Amino acid sequence: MRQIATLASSLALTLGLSAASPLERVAAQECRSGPVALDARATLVLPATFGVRGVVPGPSGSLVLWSAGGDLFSIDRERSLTRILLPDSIQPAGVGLTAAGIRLLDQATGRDYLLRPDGALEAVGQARLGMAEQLDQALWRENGWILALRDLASRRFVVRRFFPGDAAELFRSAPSDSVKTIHRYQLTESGRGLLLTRSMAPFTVIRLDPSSGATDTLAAPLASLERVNLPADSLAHWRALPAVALECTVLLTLTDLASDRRVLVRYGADNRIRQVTELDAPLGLVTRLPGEDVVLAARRAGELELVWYDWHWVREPSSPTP
Amino acid sequence: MRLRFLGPALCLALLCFIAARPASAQSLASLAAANAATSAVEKVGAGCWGCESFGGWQICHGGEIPGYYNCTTTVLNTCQLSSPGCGAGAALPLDPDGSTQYVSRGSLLGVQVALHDGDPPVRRNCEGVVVARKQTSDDIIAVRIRTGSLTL
Repeated sequence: MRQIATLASSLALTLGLSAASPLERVAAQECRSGPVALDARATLVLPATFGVRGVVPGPSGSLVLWSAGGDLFSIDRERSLTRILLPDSIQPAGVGLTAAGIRLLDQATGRDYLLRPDGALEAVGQARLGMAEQLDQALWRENGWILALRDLASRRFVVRRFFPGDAAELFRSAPSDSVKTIHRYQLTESGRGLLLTRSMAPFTVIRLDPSSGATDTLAAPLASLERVNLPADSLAHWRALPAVALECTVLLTLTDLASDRRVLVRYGADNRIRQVTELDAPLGLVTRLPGEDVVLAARRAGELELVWYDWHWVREPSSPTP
Repeated sequence: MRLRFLGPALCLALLCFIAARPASAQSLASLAAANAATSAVEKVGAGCWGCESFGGWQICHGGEIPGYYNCTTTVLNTCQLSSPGCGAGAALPLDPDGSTQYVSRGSLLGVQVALHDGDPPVRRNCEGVVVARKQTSDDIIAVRIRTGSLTL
């Protein structure tokens, strides 16, 4: 426990959590979109035995990564790694960075934990999960969690709030034929709401208003994939990674599990596909670092490594899009 | 020589017959899971994550990855398409580069996924999904060149 305390304290310092400022969301002062250019600036090789379950960007360019097994890594602005070992009983479905410390939501129990900068781990709540509900992901947002789960009884994917006194349901997918084919979506944050990316074909991306539950479906990428020669019978091996928003541009990485092929799809502010780029390299876009013109990606060049890309508009968008 | 192969062939036919029964039972198990789910933990289900050659036949292995899914193989399960909850489908854990993620990049219930000197450069599971791969120095250089700058 002393080790946890020491590491947690170190983690808090590297993340700047002891400062009173909470994690700030990307302020969408303008909502621009257009072609973007990414230039690799720095890399960091990840530990060989660390299977990344999730990545959450913190203030000041810091990051927290966690594995399904419960390992936690922080990466500070200078790209040095700090490791925290959580108790075996905790396997985070999501991690949130707050002024009070690190919030963790346990996948199996739905328990909400706060890991304080002094290393103290405190259970601060528990999400109510139905008897037939299975938690897939939790996304910390403002002062609560957005839960992504599968309702095995109704065979639907469900998104629900877990905020103090607020468990409103935001989204419920169409029912699937069987429990094992329930649609799975991955949640990411964007300046215009949450993005739900369906993992498997047709790789639908849905924009979800986290307050009202209103949805907006982006154009399905399948029709545009003909130009990159993606045979329908190979789609079972393709997956979509969580979509990444750069202001009103949305970038989607499609990956072939049977090869190094990647297809990067760019959406415009009008939710239509503007460009499809084929890439023969194991690379996936991960997230945008808030407050910076940096996109984080992961690629495999011998080992799995994180890559910091500076990004900019290829040509400055002429007029901001609402 | 013919007799040497006749035995395994008969065994395989028997195995296929037996293996078909758990497959149908699996859908019932799924329904039962939906109706009687008492835990938020992924149910154990039959399926196939990796293959191992045994006596010339590809035998299916289940796998367990903490926090993702647990799957077991039926005793006489031959290597066939994975069940969605057992490696295939959206449950398959991925690294953020879009490649499959496997336990500590090591072994998985006897299925060797970490490559060593002299191994083939690519190892795949039953479905053709790459579970381990060795990149040459030329491969690595090519990846860095292709991903150094991107215009999307």
